[in-house]
Amino acid sequence: MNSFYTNTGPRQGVASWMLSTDHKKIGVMYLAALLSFFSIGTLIGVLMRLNLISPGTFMGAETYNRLFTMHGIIQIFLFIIPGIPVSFGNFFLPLLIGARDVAFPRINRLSWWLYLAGAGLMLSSLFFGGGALDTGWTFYAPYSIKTRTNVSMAVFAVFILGFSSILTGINFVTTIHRLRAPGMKWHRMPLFVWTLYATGWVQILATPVIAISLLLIILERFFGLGFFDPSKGGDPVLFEHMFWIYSHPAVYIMLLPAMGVISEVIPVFARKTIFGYKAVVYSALAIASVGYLVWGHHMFTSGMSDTSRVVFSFITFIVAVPSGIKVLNWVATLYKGSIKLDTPMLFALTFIFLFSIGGLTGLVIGALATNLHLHGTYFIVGHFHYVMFGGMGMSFLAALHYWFPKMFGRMYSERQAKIGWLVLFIGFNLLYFSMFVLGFNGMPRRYFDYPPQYFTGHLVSTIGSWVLATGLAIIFSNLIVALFRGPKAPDNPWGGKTLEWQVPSPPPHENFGDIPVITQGPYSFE
Amino acid sequence: MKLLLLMLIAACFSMPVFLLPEAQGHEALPSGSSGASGDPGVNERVGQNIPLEAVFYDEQGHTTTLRQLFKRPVVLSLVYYSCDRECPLLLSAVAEAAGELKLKPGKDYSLITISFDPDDTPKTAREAKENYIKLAGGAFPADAWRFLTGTNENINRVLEAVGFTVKRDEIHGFSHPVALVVLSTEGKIIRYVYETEDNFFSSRKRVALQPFDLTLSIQDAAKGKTGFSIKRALAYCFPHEPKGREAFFNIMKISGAIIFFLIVSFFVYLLLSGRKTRNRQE
Repeated sequence: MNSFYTNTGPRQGVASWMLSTDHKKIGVMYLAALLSFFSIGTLIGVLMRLNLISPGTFMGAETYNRLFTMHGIIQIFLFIIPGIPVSFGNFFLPLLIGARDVAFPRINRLSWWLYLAGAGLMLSSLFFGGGALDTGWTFYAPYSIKTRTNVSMAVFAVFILGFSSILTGINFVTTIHRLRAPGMKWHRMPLFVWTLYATGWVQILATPVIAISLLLIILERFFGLGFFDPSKGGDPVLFEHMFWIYSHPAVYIMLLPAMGVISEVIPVFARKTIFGYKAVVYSALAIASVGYLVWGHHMFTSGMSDTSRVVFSFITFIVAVPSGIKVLNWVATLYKGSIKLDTPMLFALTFIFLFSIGGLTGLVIGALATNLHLHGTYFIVGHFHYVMFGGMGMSFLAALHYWFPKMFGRMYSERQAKIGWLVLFIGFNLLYFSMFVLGFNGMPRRYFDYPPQYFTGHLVSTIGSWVLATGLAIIFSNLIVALFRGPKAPDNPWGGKTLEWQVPSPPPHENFGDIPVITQGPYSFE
Repeated sequence: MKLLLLMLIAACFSMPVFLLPEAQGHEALPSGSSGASGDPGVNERVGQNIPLEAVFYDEQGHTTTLRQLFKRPVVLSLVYYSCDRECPLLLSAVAEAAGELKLKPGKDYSLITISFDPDDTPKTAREAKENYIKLAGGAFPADAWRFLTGTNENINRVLEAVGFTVKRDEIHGFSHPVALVVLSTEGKIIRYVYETEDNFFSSRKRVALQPFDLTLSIQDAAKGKTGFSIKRALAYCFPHEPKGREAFFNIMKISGAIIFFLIVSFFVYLLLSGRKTRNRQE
């Protein structure tokens, strides 16, 4: 079979990959890079948890501060934010809409290079200048202006990653507008495509803001301009505003494509069309637009007027509504479906469960009175790990198991994947649920040490981190073995109805012999 | 494509800048020089000792060395007694937090407040003491919180040792950082504790300290174990006059409007141009 892997073009070896403009090759390279950074980030997380069962035994406080910062930066900027769009989006967007490639293949390659440059710069910031930074992933001023660690380089790396993100956004949005196959009307597009579309706009609109704020930090560090330094008449709260105006929409950059994946997986494994297609589509657009207006809820205790606080809290509750609609639609799709609990479905159901816990605890801290009690505690850490890892992470694993046969043309061991899932699920809840309890009892986040009454909670959480790491090891060893020794995958192992399942596994160069003509919706199960 | 390549090359050339140790930027930043020079701020000196032989006046006007007052871990606050802004808020927060602690004042720790205004007298110190002891609650032993005044020379020795920079200003006496220093019995700096500000649902500004932070610091001080300050959002007491901020916000407005306009035109272009037909016939 003449798959895209065998089509090397005029170049050989590494160059045939790095210089390729094939969206599928770029997607596979992104996937490899993302998973490498994810494993580094996870390893750092496990080390942090190790410190917290016996503070000071394994590392000093300074090291701990650098570790939690690097954990956050690597997981967020190198894994979760680019995450699903650059890997599965790149690989499957053209396949799903019946196109041969994205609209700007060379810009696509440029965003991949920019991503690599940003990641390389980020990793070198660990070793040059003042070394790994210790500001936390939020770079809050004025500390980020004063610390001797290498903030400028890391921040510049995030700046470059931002450009990569904007270019990907422009590319995807244009592709969806211009390259749909004949008959692929807006309301016949698969839901994953819709979420990539909404995400694309968020990337284009929000990312310039963080680019500007990070440039201001660099200017302030090199030239001493006082934008955010109070001793020079600047305002640190201004930085917090600018940071969250980007970083809250960024939460939806992470989550919308994750929701898209779930909307693909659930109909296939319930053998039923999605319940309320249009409701799912418009709730994605609603999340993308209302998500811009809630950034202030990160700063309820930073000093802002009561009126702003009430308004931000209210909008925060509003933005929960479309997410609720989606959850209800997924559950309603399962109703009277012919459910098959294969690994992708297990991860998708886990997403619904964990994301619901993450979302509802988000409302707990979005309410003003409880926020005062819980702000800056482990409750927050528990909440966003349920949303980021329980949401985006589980969806990423669902996508990986769902599309693995198509991307690599191999099948993995279903049994080992399920064992891995079970271990991961147990570890996840041990690790992060205990954080809710710790935080509710007053354990502040980012602390290196704590009074003895918090020991039990930290112990349970650290044991959870070992179980979770074991689960991930089982899952990924399964996939790596399958990559080399797995049995050949059929073209359509799950019985999916979308276009990517109608081409061979792995897909040929340029995807389609003849561009298909679309006559019906994406989930037409009888 | 050429343009993109040029951009990429330009970015590569600008990278070596970031490999430099950022000496230029840092030297210009406020560092902990003592006395009236430099910008107000804290340059943390965790692990170093403060001069316990420095001499101060107590509330009765008797001279005393710090050593005579350091019998147990000490929570030190540096303010001036005629301050009408942050200092009273900080001291009330100390009084309230001390009331909430399970640790016993006078047994597990002492509170010491030193004025960095050489014009303060034992009389003003006595008045301050009466106020705050009352606020801390009836059971608070008066001996466990000392209010000291001193000469310029001794004040500067202590400020220097804890890394505080304060600055006289015309509008309200002094601009100065607002933080507590927790010290061991030997005068070793264990940790800096910063206030958290919560003016939730209240127009009156209120400052609070986390009893958690204080307990942890005092327990560490008893063991002589130095720690790492977490709440680095340092509060300052200074008159704020937002000069020239308008220009900044105007730049933001204009650049924001331009970016938004570009994005909207992009969207309109996509809508009008419709689907690409050429690609399908290949």
